Amino acid sequence: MHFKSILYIIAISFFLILTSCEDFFETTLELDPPPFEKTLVIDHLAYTGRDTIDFRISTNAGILENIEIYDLNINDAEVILTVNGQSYVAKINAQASTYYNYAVILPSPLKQGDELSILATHPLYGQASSTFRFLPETDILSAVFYEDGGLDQNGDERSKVSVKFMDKPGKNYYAVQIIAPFFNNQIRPTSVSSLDPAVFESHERYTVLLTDDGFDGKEKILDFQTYRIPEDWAKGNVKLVWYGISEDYYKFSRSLNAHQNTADNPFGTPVPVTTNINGGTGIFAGHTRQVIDVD
Amino acid sequence: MLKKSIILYIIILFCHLLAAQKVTISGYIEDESSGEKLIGCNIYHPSTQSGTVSNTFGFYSITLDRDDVILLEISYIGYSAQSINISGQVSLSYNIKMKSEAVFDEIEITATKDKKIETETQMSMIDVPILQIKKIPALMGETDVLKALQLLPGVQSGGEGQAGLYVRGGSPDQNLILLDGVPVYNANHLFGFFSVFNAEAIKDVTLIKGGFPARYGGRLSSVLEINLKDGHQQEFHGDVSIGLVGSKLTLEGPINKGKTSFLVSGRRTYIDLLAKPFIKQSFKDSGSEGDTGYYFYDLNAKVNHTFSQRDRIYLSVYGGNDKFYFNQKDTEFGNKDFTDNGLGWGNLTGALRWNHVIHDKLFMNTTLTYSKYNLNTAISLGTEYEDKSTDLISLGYLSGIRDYAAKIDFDYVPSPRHFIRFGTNVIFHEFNPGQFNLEQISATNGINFKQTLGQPIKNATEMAMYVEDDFEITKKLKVNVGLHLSGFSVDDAFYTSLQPRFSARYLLPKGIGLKASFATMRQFINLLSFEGIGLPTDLWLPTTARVKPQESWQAAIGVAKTFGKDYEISVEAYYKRMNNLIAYKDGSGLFELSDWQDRITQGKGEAYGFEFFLQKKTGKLSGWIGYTLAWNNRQFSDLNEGRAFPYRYDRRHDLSIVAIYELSKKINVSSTWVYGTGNAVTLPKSRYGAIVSGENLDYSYLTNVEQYGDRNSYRMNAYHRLDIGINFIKTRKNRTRTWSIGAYNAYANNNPFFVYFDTDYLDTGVEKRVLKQVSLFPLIPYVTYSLKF
Repeated sequence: MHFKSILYIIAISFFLILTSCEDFFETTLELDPPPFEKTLVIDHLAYTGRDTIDFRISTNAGILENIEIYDLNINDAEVILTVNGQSYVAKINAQASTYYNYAVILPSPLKQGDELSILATHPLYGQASSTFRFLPETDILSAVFYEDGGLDQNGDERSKVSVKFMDKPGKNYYAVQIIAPFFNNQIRPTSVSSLDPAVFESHERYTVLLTDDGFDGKEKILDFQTYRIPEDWAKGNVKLVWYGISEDYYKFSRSLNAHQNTADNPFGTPVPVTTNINGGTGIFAGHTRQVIDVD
Repeated sequence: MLKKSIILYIIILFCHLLAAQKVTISGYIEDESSGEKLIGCNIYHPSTQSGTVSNTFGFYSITLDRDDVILLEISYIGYSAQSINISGQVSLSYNIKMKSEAVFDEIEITATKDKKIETETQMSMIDVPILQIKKIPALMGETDVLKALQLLPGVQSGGEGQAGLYVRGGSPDQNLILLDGVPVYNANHLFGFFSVFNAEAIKDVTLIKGGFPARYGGRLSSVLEINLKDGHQQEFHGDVSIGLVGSKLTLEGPINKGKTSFLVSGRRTYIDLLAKPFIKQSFKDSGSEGDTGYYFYDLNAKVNHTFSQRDRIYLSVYGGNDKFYFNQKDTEFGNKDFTDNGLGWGNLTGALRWNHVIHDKLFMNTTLTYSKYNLNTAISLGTEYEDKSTDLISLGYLSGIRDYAAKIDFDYVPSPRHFIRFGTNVIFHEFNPGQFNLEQISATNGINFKQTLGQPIKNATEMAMYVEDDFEITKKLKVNVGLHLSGFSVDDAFYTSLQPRFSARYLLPKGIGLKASFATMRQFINLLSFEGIGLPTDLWLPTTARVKPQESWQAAIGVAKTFGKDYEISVEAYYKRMNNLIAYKDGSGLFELSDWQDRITQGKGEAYGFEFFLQKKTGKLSGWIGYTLAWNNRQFSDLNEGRAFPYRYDRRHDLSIVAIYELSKKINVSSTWVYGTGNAVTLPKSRYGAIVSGENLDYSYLTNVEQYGDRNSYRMNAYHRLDIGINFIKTRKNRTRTWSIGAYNAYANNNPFFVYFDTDYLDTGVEKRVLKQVSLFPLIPYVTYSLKF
């Protein structure tokens, strides 16, 4: 057989293959989704100094269910909050302009050392519960603003707040915000980052997280960078918000941040979001809040 | 070292003196017509019921009592058995030439059975004749050694069409793949759909899954030893093959008859060339110029020269590359916007080996090797203005590994009861864990910026020494005991490991071989890989002071028996424990600039199972049935909340049936059927909304959180496939032509490749979320033409 004939047969076969296959070698089938259990979701973050506690009580939906997450709120659950042994029944927060659909108003503001528990019950979705205790406040020794705060990871010029604090012995977790003036004279939380390896992104905007790995029980100075703020703007207007946070919240926030970052990344590994809710999912936590005027 | 050498010399001398009443017959065993050295050829002395086998270079040595005449029986699969009478008064060198049985009978290959499986100490080892591999139907007609090995028990594929090997619960980086003694780091072309090994150039393939002899080390799960042909010593021959995706050409022959021969084999795909006119037209239709395509090529070359009966050298080189390219140019207002992207990866290996027969009982092989694997990605975007000035932004990514190694191995055969091997090696590794090169040139803004980011190149040294003895204690009991000592130096860290190895076989009544083995292994280099994706972007990285070496131990027990004329059956059970396995932490991604050590976590794994293998290598009907029942789990403190979870390739059932039938001397048909439990993957089960607000409720919003079950808790559909093929062979004078026609996935089963969530838009305008399975290769016919001359 001539060489040309062989090539002819090969070429015809090749194109026969290409044209015979749907979507160029690729076909798709619909599959049944993995089974799941419908449970309650508790979403709650309390702060010391507040006397109103808001919750979002919702449920989860099947991965293929065609329902908006905004429509998952549950308004017929019984929610009991216990503060230092005193129980309160949460009420529907119908007037709320936020996503929180339940609230409890306490007789006095929350403070460090308070212990809070929640028990939510629903006839269809069962019970969900959790507990946390507000951590003691941190000894912030100084907080100083510098207009010239060096370059950040992207090589942009930044201002910084240098914080000296005393870490208490034992494993501690913190969250940090910087409040600073904007162009419209509004004073609000602003961008915050750090080159220190102990500092990580939070899922919350304008917030970073840190652990005391490497300086447990010791005095530590950390620099937190923010956008470049002129000295005269900053004067008297920059504040540092320091939160003592729980390990559960730290893990939740880091995992949720990673979950969000990898949501659209085909090469990202799946990140399960951690929870501290027994019998359900979500987060029930509280931050010990300290606001420090920056020099 | 000097002291050890002196002791060794004294031992050898002592043994030599003891053997004064004995004679040693030694030499090479080769194919009569081509001069190709035969590996694992059985030499048997019926009077004493003792024997030996030829080594990787075809060398044998047998020491027997002095006698007037010594009768030896030589057998090798596919060759007619020989009985030779040799004068037994003095030691002598005797080369043996074996006649291929195919010469006598092209229909039925009925070689005298070589060494019976039940008599060998080594367990968990499979060698598949390369001629058999070539007859198995293959994807697009491309004979693939790795895909053929996936059909064996204990060996799994990663997924549809992929060539990676998962051996007894291990990952592909835990396989020591040696091509003529040189490690090959990336054995895949086209994202794993084809392996880099060109079957036309291969002489011999052996896979060891457990009971590792002490001469092997550095990987946890398997040793795959592939030896290239040496090249015909007497005549020029060639083989040209034209297939659907590529063509191959192999040439071999003597440079100096009987002394020097060569082999050159090359392969290139031409999908890019066939599709080029259509692609160019497609760009033209969209108003631009451009081209895109993919190809791979590889080249094997080998030269060997015989200086004397005692000295031979071999030089072998392998080079292969994959290349994907995309470029486009759009002209607007006289300015040309262009983009030029490329992705390339490939291996280059070389080995220079010197065989020296120091003594008729002592064989030495000295090897110098070089191995390099590189990945190179480049993306350029820019504008060329009318005045020829250019704005350009380019991003390049480079990673890889480079090895320089030297080793020396000795085979010492003091008597038929002992086969002692010892040796040492050193490897200098150079790791490039990923570097980004950024460049910006702007004529309009006067910018000329260059920056290199990423991890610095890291050097490491790996070394090893070993000694092993295949020792026949009694006629029934034979053991292989050995020690492998390895060390690894990187930065300021130095790791050592002493790995005991043990295999034994005991002959039970009725010719049943009872076998057991135990081996500990340690691995100092790691492949940082995304499970299942099998991208060339996977990174080879060293053990460091922070990242501990991977280690394992494996115990196996089994029985083996040859029955009937030529059926072999083996049943084995194994348990493997692995520590310091490496995996990405949750959320880590590719192309990150952070230190790779921060992105990984280490944990443990266990794999256990049962394997059944029934093989028939010869006769009109040949093939095998392989079945594996296996469990394969991982546990990392940072993953799955510390709970154990199934490995992605935890495959409970894996069954392969391979049959080749010679209808006549002109036609043979073959068929393969495989079944495997679906891969374990992680999928979200449900979702909920989480508030993101912090303290500032005015910025709050709800984010969608997908809830996962346990890691890898979802099973993809089971995989099953039938391949069929038929070969039409016509022989004329000095040439043989073969038409191979067949089909991959003959009943067009939709096998899972991956699953994903998608949104369908119904006619009613309603959105519907669905879980979809993507399948490749519904039914792929193939046709290949080859001509041997």
